[in-house]
Amino acid sequence: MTRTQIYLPEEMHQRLLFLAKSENVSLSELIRKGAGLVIKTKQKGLPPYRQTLKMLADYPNSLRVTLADSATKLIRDQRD
Amino acid sequence: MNKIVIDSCVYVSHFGIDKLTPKSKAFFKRISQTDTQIILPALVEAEVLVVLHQNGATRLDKISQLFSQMIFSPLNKELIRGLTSFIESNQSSLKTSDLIIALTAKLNDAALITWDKQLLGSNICETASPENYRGP
Repeated sequence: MTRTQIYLPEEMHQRLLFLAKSENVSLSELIRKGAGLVIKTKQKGLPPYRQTLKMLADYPNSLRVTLADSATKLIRDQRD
Repeated sequence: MNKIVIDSCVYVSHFGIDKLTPKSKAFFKRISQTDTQIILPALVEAEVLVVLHQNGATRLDKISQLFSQMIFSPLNKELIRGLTSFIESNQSSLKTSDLIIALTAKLNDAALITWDKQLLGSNICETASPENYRGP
């Protein structure tokens, strides 16, 4: 995760604190949930091919594996 | 809309980690801002899944899910007919797999994006490396 600092209007901050307490989650968790919803909503407005491109571009580092050789060589070995 | 066929090595360097990964990631980031349609040859999907599996990838389902949303180009009779007519009237030293991928791009009026020098040097279809591709 990345640490970041944001400014919230006082009233919004208070309401979020109240919501977090009533849902028994941390304020950070609640804000992450909200950010996730914004991303989902934005993606929904995109045509399917743009959504695919976006998902490809956002492929998570945690799923990447270190390759035994360069990708070009690995594929060339499959074809030769 | 731009149409492209992306070669297996570009996907593998994007889904894996090698020296070209930063450039492959930058390429996908760049095209995600554009109207680009990806055509996925059956052979490319198979190669990517096999090579990533051989290199220890465990979440192939995530990659299959991404692939399932692209325009799939099957290895079928129609493609073989196109291949036959191409090799009858053209000289090419490309291996069968390379030829099928380049021909898929040609038949779909798409550019082929690859890191592979052999394919970049072929003249069957428009080719570009991920860092040089700027759209039509």
